[in-house]
Amino acid sequence: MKRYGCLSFLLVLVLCLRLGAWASPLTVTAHADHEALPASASSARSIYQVESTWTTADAQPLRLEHLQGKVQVLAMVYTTCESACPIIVSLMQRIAAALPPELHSQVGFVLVTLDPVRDTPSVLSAYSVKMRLDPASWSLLSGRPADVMELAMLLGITYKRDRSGGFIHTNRLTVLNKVGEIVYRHEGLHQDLTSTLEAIRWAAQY
Amino acid sequence: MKIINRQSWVGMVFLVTLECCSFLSAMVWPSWAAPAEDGVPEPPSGMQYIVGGVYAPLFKEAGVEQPTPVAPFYLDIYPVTNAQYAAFIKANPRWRRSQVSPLLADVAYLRHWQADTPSPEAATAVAQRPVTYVSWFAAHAYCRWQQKRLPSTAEWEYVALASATAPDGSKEAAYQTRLLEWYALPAAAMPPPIGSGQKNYWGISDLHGSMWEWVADFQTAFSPGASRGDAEAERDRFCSSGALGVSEPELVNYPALMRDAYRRSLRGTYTVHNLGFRCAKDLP
Repeated sequence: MKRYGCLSFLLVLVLCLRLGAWASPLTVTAHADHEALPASASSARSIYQVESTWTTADAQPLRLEHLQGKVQVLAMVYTTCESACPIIVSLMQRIAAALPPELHSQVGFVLVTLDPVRDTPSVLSAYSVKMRLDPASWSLLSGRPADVMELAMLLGITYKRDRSGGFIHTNRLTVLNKVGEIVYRHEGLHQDLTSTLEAIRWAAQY
Repeated sequence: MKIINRQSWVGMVFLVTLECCSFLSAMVWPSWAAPAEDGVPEPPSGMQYIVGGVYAPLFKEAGVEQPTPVAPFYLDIYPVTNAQYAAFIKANPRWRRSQVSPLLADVAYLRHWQADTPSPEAATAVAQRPVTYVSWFAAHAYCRWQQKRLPSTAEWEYVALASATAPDGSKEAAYQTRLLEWYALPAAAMPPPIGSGQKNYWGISDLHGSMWEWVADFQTAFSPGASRGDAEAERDRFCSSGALGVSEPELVNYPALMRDAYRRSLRGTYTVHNLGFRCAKDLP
């Protein structure tokens, strides 16, 4: 009898240990840290309301709302891209050259890399020099891959890594007004720039 | 009798020792994280470690690498619940129903909550159910707030391939039949509480049968209108989908085809009654 008592005690012990081991995964999630509060974008349709933080070619952090106040011409490219991206950048350079002098201070140009892993700030900085982009009006940004995806979604740009390590991507320039609303899309590589320039001139008035 | 008893004693002592050892080791390394290997850090609370592998996309796309390698990562065991999403909104008021930007979510956003926060009755009813009527942008923002991210299509599909017992359930006829039955059911007005489904090989629950889930790169399923090879990509897609049944006729993954078609139909602002999400996280 006494022996059975000991046996059953051991059985209970085994059971408890088992249950303990089972119960441990049931402890549920604690909460992650609080992220910085959102910026107050002045328009509900401003893409600057996204809460992502980017890194400039000078390795400085940048929130998109800091692009406010100027009309911005934005494209998503990557520096190792040999076919479409140089054409996109040259399109933007042609726009810059075609702007009337009074608009120079009111229009900015933004390149956001689709390949933030390889396009580090120093790579972007070197690219800026190579392409002779004026740092006063050009911003070259890299960010976290998920945030790059978010921005691309807001701009309606799709991209996908291809076998060679590059990207298949939408070729598009987006014109943003001074509060970050999309006012014009320049599609493709070979379209005339007249309407795009007109959209920039129009947006600069407001 | 005496001999048997002695043996059983020895056996019991052995068993207890074994249990103690396994319990102690479970404290350090939980036994439920079965697929994990030595040297891998313990997953964050509520997540499971997913061993990396390879995902074979359904369709050929010109120039796109396939099969796609999947690096090791962590994945939420359950979809994000209404209660968890309510906590997110409390900390991020701009994601309230009344304040959300039309750029980030359509008008049906959180329709099933009667107001900016679910009413007490509604809260009880939905607390442990997966949150739905959330846009991709909302799901993305939630995961970022959790210092996580949305899983990629490759990651999601890789994990969803597992049956209860094997990382690749595609060859298990019984499991495939059950999957098909799930997908054939009409969607409930509201997905069932989390944990209603069976956990799969990776310890991940509710991947099938209750609702659809957002993935980070759902939109790349679209033809990207790229600089090169567009027409070719379209042609490949057409040909390969036609050829799906030819290579392995009995093993066509219809649920995966349905998910692919569903993802193609979405936009980032869409909110749907049976579309929720869960988060993933990179290894430290």
